[in-house]
Order: sequence, then structure tokens, then C-alpha cells
Amino acid sequence: MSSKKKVITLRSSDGEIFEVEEAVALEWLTIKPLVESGCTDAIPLPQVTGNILAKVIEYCKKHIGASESEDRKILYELESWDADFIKVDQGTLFDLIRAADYLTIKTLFEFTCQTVADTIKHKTIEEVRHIFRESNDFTPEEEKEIRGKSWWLQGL
Amino acid sequence: MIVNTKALVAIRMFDHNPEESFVVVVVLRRGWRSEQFEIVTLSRSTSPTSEASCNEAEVAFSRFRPCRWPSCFDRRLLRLPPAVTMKGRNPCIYYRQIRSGRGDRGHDNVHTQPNDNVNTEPSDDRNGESSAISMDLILSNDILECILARLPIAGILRMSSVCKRWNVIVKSSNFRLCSSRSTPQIPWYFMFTSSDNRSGHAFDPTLRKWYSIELPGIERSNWLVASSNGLVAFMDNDRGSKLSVCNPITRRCRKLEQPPGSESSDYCTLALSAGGTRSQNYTVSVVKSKQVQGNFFQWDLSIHLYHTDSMKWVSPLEEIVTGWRGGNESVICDRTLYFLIYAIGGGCGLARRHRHALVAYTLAKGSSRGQLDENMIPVPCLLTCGRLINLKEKLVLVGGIGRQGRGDMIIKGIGIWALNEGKDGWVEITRMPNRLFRGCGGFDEVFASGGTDGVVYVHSYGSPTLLMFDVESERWELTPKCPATKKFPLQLFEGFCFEPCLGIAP
Repeated sequence: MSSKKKVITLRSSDGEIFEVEEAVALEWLTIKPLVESGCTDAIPLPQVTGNILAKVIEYCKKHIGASESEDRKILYELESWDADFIKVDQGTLFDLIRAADYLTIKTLFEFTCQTVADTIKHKTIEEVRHIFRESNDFTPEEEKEIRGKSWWLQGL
Repeated sequence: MIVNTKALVAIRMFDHNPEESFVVVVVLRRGWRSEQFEIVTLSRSTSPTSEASCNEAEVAFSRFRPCRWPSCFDRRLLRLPPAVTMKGRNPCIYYRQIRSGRGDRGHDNVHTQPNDNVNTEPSDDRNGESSAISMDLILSNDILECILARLPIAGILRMSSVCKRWNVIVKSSNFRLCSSRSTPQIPWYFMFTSSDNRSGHAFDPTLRKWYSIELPGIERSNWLVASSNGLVAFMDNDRGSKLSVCNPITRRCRKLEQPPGSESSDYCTLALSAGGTRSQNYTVSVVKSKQVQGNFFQWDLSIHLYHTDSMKWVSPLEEIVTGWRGGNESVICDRTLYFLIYAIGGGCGLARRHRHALVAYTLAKGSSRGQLDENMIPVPCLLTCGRLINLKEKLVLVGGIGRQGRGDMIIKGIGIWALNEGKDGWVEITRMPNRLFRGCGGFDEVFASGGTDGVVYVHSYGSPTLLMFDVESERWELTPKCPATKKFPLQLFEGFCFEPCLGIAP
């Protein structure tokens, strides 16, 4: 059976062209209707840059079919592949989350969110502020009140 | 992508030169996970007239309503096309809700006066490049919610002090409900550190930490406690007149009416069944037992139920039982109330063999008489200190395995059994390994045990350490020591298990 699989063309925000199998593109709920309607033009993805789109495609190609597998060996292998895949800098990780959200790829979205949650779990508030580029915008009174309410968590 | 569109924001830029005025239309979409809006499309129309249209929605600009930035709209995310700069312009913002893709009434007449209230433009556009970097690191509220929801509950609460935006998210009831539904938390165990008051420490198995917390709604540690799906009920042990239901995490508490029945009962037991984040309803049950005057073998047993639907107490059963008395142990599983009864004196048959029996009472049955005897289930072996637990709506019994024929009850181990429907009866899940049984502060005949959701805690009253059994992985684990110190050598520590949950209120 050498029947050619249908290929979908995607165009990133910076104009790079990517080709993915239809089965992969169908997992992306945002573009699913377009794919199903038999669109042959390159689908523009104005919110995803080329390097991020490449990562997203890499992840989805690896995961298609494998996530549902019940073979422990495959799942274990997938897990360690995921761990390597997500070794990226903070900016890329956030870009991946946004891309997964924009394209509505549930598996990637959940995985990236969980990764961020796991990273900040044991971080101090200061460190979390730094990671998310948030600044402390509480007045001293407000801060005192918040600390007073969750005083029992201060030992963390 | 217009299917989910719920709101449009149009930003009208004014300039002294009418040729330079233009309108930016932002289509906001209600997120697929929450109620937050996010930007989907951004288009620009150079038409200086008041009628501008957005390609996808064909929205007449005149139907927009002038407003401030809508609160659901995170303006930091507004990335305008490079050609659009807000510098020196007064943006005037119009906002319109769209219901099922069609325009609502809106205001037909939009004045073209710049709105002074909104002339603060998105700050990101002012600061040039440095802010462009930070924009990449800012995630929309919607995404942030999804990340925060994946934290252990203590982490979620802690993150509320990062900044105002995070604080608002963590406080919002919608987030609390969604996070509780999406991320089940491993149950915590609360240990009282003094018998005189309600202070104590709660053990968080996810972060393996003890927190010093104070419980609302309880006055002394010897009160009756029952917990279910994030809620905990307390009742005073003396007269059974003070009853309250609380969420120990949010510290919300509600007092309930005093249950009916005799105030001077000899034994009383409390159970709670909460519907969790899906229904927010709960049922409280109280089983009282009082010795019939002048007759050592006869006990007057009564069941009282409170349901939040009706907000009142009913007493569907009152019965005299012979040879058995009620006790302090009950639980509600799958709409059945289970409670342990204890043999009086010598007894005969069942009572003689096992000392305990279990009664199953179907809550939906309503009032009827003479059914306790029929619903008696023998316990798996000679027990001391039987504890009933609801593990995922299945009844589980934890008990000390007694030695037959010994006057003083010395137990030879601790077992965990599950009650299977049908003929199987009790199935042993596990027995506490000998090294733990001997090594953990000496289990004598009394210990506390609680659990929910696949975790059973066993707690020797004399020790500030807990043993945790994970039903799925069948593993026993010793927790870190509770920071409580014994004030006197024979001090006992009491405790109970509960599920930490932000999204449920009593």
C-alpha cells in the first residue's frame, strides 16, 4: 500500500511553509474545519512563528497514535522523549503554550501547562514573578492582608 | 473562527488629520476552557467614517457601545499591527457583546468625541522594544488559569500573592470550581495538637508538608468529625447540639440546626456525604443510641438525616435493638449509611464471634420499621477499633485484628477490607506490614484511620507520625513527623482525613 497520504500545507507568521500529514492537522481543532473542507491552499497561521510551528509539528508527529497505546514500553519511551522535547528556554515554552492554545491542540497544551506548573511549584514568589515578568503591584496594606489570610502557607 | 465570537472591541484612533483616523476591530472569543475572552482577530479599517466593518462579522460600527476597556479584556495582549501606533492619539473604545453571532441592541448612535476616560493607551506600546520582550512572557488569563489549576492546592493559594492579576484569578469562584474539577487533590490529614482547642496541623501529601491551621466551626478536639468531598462536619460530643459544616481550606463555615432526638444519648455518630463541586449539596447523618432505662441489653437506636435540599432534619428510623448498641463510627457511601454496632456483654452467635457488626441503611428508603436486623453484615474477623471509610463510593473497613479468646484485646495486625456488593462480602485489600506495625509508635487497640479517594491514613494515637496507604499502588509510606510536641507523655493525638478543595462551599 503505497498510496500517498494527504498533506496539508501551513504557513507560519514569518512566511515559512510546512507540510504535515492530514491526520496530524486534524488533531488541531482550530484548523480542523478548514482541513475537512478540503482546503488546498496553504493555511496561514499568523500567530505562530516558523521555529515554534516546527516544534509543534515535531511533537504532534511523535504523539499521533502513540499516546493511546497501551504498550508500556512505548509509553515509557514517549515519556522520556517528552522530557527531552520540553528542555527549552522559558520563552520557547511560553510560545509553545500559546501556539497549542491558538491551534487548540489539547495534548500539547496540557503537557506544556503541566510543565510550567511543575517548574513553579517549588519556586518562591519572587522567582515566580521573575519568570512571568510580573511585578508586585500590591500596596503594602494589601500585601499584609493577603499574607495574613494565608499565613499558614508561609512555611512553604 | 466566528462561531465562538462573543464580543467585539473596536478602537477608534483619532487624529487631527481626518485622513489619519482609523478603526481597529478586535474580535474576542470566549475561551474553550473558561469564561475569559481572548483576542482572535484584529483588523484595521482606514475608513474614517463611523461605519467600519470587520470582515468576518460584518459588524456595523455604529452598533458599538462606547465603554472603558472591558474587564474581561487583557489589554496587554493587544498587539497592534506595526503600522498602527497609538502614540499621540486618543483611542476611543467601543465594546459590543454578540449573542450567538448576531448583534444585540447596542447604541445606535456613537459620538465621535474622544473619550477622556480611556485615553490611557496600552502601556506596552509606549515603551518600545523592552516591553516587546516582556509581552512574550505574559500569558493570557485563560492560559494562566490552566497553569495555576495544575498546581497543588497550597501552591495555588500561595500564587495569589504574586500580583493583582494572579490574585484576582485565584479568588474567582469560576477558577476555583474549574480547578477543583480538573485537578483532583490527594486527601490531607488534620491532626489536633491539643485536646483543649481546635488548633493543629494538616499534612499535605503532595508537597509532604505539615501546615499549622486553625479549623473553623469546632471548639474542642474531642468533637465528632465527618468529612466528604472537601467539606468537614463537626458536632459537639456532649449533647450533640452544636453542628457545623465547613471547608477547612477556604475557612467558610455554616452552622446547622440542632439534630432532633435525645440530647443525652450515650453514643452518637456523625457522617457526611457531599456531592462535590458538581452539585454543592450534602447530607448529614446522625445515629444516636441510648440505653433503655433499666435494661442493660436493650438500646434505643435512631437515625436522623439532614439534607441541604430541604434544609431540615428528618428522623426516618427509631428502633429498639437487643444485644447491640450503636457507637461512634459511621460513613455514607453511594447513598447508603453504614454504621458499626457493638455486641453487649456475652451475646450469642454473631455477636459472640466478632463483637462488631455493620448495619447498612439505604438513605433513599425513607421511613420504615424493623429493618436493622435484616441489614446486619458480619465483619471479616474479630475486630478492635473498626473504622469505616468511603473510598470512591466503596465501603472500606480498617480494623485491628484481634486474637480470639484473649481477655485483653491485643491486636496482631491491622487490616483493610473492602465490602463488595453481592455474595463476595469482604475482600481483604491489605494488611499493614509487620515492620510498620511494630515500628510505628506501638499500635495498641486504638488508632484513628481515615481516607478518601484511594488513600488510607492510619494514625496511632500515641504518635505524631502517620502511615499512608495508597490503594492503587498498594504501597505503605511513613509521613514526616507532625511538628506537634507532646506536652505530657500520655498525650494522644486525634485527627481526621479530608480532601482539600477550593471550589466547594458549605
